[in-house]
Amino acid sequence: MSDVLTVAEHRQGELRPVSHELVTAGRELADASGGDLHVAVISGDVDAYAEAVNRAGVDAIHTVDHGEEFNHDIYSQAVEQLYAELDPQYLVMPHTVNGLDYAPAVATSLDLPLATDVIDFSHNGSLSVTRETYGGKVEAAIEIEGDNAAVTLRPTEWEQATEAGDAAVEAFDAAIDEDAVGSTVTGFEEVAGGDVDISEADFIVSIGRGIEEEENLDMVWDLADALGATLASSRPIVDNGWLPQNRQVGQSGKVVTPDVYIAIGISGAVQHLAGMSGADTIVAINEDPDAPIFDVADYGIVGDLFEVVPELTELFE
Amino acid sequence: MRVLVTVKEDEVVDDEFEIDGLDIGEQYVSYELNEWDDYAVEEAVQLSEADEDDEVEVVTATIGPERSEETIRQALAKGADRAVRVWDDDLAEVDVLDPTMKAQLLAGVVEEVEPDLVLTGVQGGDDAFGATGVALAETVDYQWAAVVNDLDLDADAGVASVHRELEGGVEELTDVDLPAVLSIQTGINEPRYASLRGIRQAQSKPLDVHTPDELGVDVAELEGKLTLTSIAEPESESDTTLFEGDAGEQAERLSDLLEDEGVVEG
Amino acid sequence: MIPLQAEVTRETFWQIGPTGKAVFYYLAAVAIIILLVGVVRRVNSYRAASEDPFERVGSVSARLRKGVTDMVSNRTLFSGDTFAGLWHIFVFWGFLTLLIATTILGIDLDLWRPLTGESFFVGDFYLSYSFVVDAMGLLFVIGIGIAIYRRHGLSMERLWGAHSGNEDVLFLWTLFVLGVGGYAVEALRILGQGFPSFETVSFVGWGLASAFSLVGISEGMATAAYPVVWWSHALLAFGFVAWVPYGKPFHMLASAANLMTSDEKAGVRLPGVPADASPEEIGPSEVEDFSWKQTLDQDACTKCGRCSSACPANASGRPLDPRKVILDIKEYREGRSEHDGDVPIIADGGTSVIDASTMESCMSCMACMEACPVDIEHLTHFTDMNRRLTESGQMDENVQEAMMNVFREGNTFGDSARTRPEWTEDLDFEVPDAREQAVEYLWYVGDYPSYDGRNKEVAKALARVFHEADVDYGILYEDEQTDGNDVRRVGEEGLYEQLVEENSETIGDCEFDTIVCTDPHSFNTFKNEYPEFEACDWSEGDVAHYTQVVEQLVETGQLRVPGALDYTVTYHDPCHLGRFNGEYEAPRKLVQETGCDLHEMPRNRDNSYCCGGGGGGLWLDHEEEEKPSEERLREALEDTQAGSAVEKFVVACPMCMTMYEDGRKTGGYEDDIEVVGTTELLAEALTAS
Repeated sequence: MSDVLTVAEHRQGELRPVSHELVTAGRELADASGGDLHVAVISGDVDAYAEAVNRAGVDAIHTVDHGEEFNHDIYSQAVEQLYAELDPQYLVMPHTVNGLDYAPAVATSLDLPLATDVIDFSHNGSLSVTRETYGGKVEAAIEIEGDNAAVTLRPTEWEQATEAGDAAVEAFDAAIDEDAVGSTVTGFEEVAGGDVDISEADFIVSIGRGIEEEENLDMVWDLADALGATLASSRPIVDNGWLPQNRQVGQSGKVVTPDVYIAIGISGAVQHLAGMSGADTIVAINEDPDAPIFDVADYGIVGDLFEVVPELTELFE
Repeated sequence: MRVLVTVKEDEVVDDEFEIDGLDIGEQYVSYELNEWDDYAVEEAVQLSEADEDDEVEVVTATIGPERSEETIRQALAKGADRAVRVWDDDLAEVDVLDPTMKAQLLAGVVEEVEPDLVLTGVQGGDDAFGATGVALAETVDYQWAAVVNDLDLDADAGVASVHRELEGGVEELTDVDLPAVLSIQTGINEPRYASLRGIRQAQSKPLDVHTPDELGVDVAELEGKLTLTSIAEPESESDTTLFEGDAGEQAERLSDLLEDEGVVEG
Repeated sequence: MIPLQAEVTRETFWQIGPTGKAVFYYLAAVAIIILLVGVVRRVNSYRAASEDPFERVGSVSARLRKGVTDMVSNRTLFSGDTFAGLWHIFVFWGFLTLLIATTILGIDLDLWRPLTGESFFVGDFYLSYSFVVDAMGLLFVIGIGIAIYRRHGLSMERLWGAHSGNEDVLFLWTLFVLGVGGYAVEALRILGQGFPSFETVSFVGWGLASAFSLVGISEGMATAAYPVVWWSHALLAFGFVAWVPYGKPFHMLASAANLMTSDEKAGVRLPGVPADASPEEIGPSEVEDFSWKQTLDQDACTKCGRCSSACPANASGRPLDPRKVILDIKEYREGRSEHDGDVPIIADGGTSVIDASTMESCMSCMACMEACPVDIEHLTHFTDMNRRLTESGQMDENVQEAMMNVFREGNTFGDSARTRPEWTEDLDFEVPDAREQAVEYLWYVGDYPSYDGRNKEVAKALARVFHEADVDYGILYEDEQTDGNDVRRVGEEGLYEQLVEENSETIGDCEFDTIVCTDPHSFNTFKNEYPEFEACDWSEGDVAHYTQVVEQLVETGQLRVPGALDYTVTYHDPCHLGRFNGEYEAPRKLVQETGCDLHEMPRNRDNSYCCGGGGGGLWLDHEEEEKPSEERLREALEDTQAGSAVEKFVVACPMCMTMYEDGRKTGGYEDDIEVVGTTELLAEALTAS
């Protein structure tokens, strides 16, 4: 009883990247606990997903071919039964919208201590996890008593496992009780509006009035492309019609929480800060050293964006 | 129809604060109504207002000390009919009040109140577990759906048609059988403001306090298995590190940073 | 045939036989009854309305004096538009004269003659009467003519609004026809009676009669035409009299009443709310919830549109038109609106008489009230509606957040109360603590000067000035909480009351002579509103704005400001210091003391153009074509005598500072002008020497 069981996640025909992150983390935990890493693949085209998640580090993959898309009742039952079958020490699930929909139920049902939104863990006989609290202002170290535990891991905190693996894929015949399934998925809807949803972006390059003229936008598009970042802007740019509304960051636009937010030529009006101050790392490029954006920026360049931006683009082309 | 709404008081920490052992220094802490619960309360009150026969009762449930009554009154001012608060000194001693424990306590309230629908927030603003609602559902054997940003209730048919806000701008449309627990996402509605007078007037609405015992829950028995061992401030610069030099040098420094941050390839 | 004119007089009912006279008196009675019924109906609508929170009819002699002076001089009409004042005073005095003249005639005909058997409408009396009436009648017609020209010829924008229409046109032309018609009647009589020599005193009538004669109208023709024209004039006059209470002409009575029941402190000092009022009772839900005075306000409105053309929110393209708000409510009350049945007076979306976005656009600057010639109190309507929005939970999200921040931390930023005095740490001297020692000046710093980056510089500058002048001052450190002026104006009265109590207590525990404020908003509420509450110990005279205090220091020589600077500057009057509280000169003196060259913008002093920060403007994000701050900076750079040579835009309010720094960037004025606080200018002058 030292194994680790992780649960993969997919949506509308694609395996989601967090599944590969769970492989990395799961492997780490399995090494520490001295056991095997099992991955559960539930619903949908399980064989294709199983192949996609078959990365180095995985010891066994169990498929449960029941249902098309995610359903929490099916997932709960499948995971609980797999757990009973495999008797792992740790159950590792993603802290995603769907993860939130079944992990707590499973943990309660299996009477496992549950730690959610874990950003780090260590294992010295027992499991200790690190979580953020108070909106990220504090990191808390929590020890989990007992032999077993269920955890949900925060996406993007672990690297995705990339090397191909050769784990055995087994079909698991879970006896899913249809009567116990109390919810039905009736469809999906795209609501991002526009070509991109900046609130989902991890890396954003954002521009403000410092850009001065519409033709200078090209320069910033080039940078965003070179960096592989999503382009966003403050309100005046959108008001001028230079970018569509779905790119607007701010109080009346979108709230973004990327890993890195580069604010170019943005002075940092209160309404704009409201939309991006939650970014992990904020870099500001502005020629005014007193611009309010520097109050929230972690890194800054006081300079002429018309010089810095092309230089930066060049480094990445 | 009865709707139970969990109302949690969040602890809010100032931007600059000091850690005192396993706590944040008291002078840096303030309290406010949990944002997600605010949306849940609004959703419940809207259900009550939409019902022309005036047969929807909104009851709030809070696990918290007397201080949290200030927050509870805000919910009452927004239109809840009555409130239930659960607490005793034993709970004050608990290290980490985790979702499993909360689910047990709330289950006691559910047993007493017998709601058809339970609305919780997706997560607490301070502890951010995001699990209490679903854990509660499992505990009381209700159906559930997590991260709901749209609710269309057909009370007669006993079905809640919801949208779940998935990642990447996609929503899942799901029908959930009642009784159910729904964890409510921000943005589902526009929470109304509770004016100070409104809050003062809400003093006249019933606010019942129960100890866990009274609800049939033994605190000693439900001691969680999570122990807080330390807290610390994450490493981050609140002062801006400026990159010096000419444009080229500054660009170089920035590109190094981006590589470190892992948003670009080295 | 030329009748023998033994007497200098005229026959009043010439050619109108006894039947005609009887009909005339009968119709007169009917018209007057209709008039009275209409007036009673109006009065009843005032009685059906709610009580007004303020005393409106006491100090009778003072009120009468004010009302009469206003009316006799028409001074409120001249303010801001001389030609309007001119034509209106012609019409006013012309109409009044004609009314009095007719009354005198009536007295002679129906009282004097029956009683004494004689007439006084003869001889010299008759001559002077005729002259005066003809002269004033001429002014009347000229006045109306000017008004017609402005409405139709110039098509002045403010005269044509959402509620403008036939009534306005009809009113003007009716009066014009009455005026001209009167002369026509007189001319025909003079001509028909063969130009009695003494009638030259009625010079207009005589001239017109001569003109008629010139174009070929004979004595006979005039005599024949006379009764027709006389009757049409009489009927039109009766029609007008009957119409008075039912439409725009009622302003003659309502506006006069309004001027006499006005509240000097309207807008500056808002009404409180009864302690036992439940949230549902606060703010107008139904139209009867407006007070009788507010109802009278709505009736007094002549649709002149000055408020709307003065309103900076309107000019910025926001959905606020002050005149339209007043008239929309009036229209709804009279059952003439498009809403059938009852709708809420104000709501956020959905159907209501007024939409929340209209009220949220208001900056509480009082330009509308300043411009209104009949003392309509727009702001009390608006703040009442804001209270309704607050109590019904429909407040805008951003404002909600600001309120929650105040509730939790005592400032609109939501920053920790503990960090409020941190701005003092940059100073190389200690700022005294008014909580611990008695001081002459208790300096109430304010939210923005304490927490906002740019405004902290203003606070520091003022501290330096106080320090330099060796002023005995102190601050409240972290026990200071937001003053609540704007909290009150966005409608959160409950929170305001709490702030009054807490601030009054904190300040009450200190020993001081004068409270001095950095922010005119604090100044306004501490001076005019706090003393109305029991919890507050101080009175109006104990509160000052820093420019007033510093100016005093300069006067007495305690502070010497070297005239070391030579910038070309312009000064912007903050609404709450200037228009609200009448302080225009102290800041100007200080600016000039520093040596700067001060040039005035056209919209200065009581006509100042609001920065847009009041009424929640700092917290809200508005949809507008051009920010008020951008327009004002344009004015600073283009419309003063110094033109684009203006280097600095001097402000005396932290909100103005914030709004103009923002407008400077968004309007692209960064290279053209700098925004600087009065204290910063002073501090610079002090260190420059």
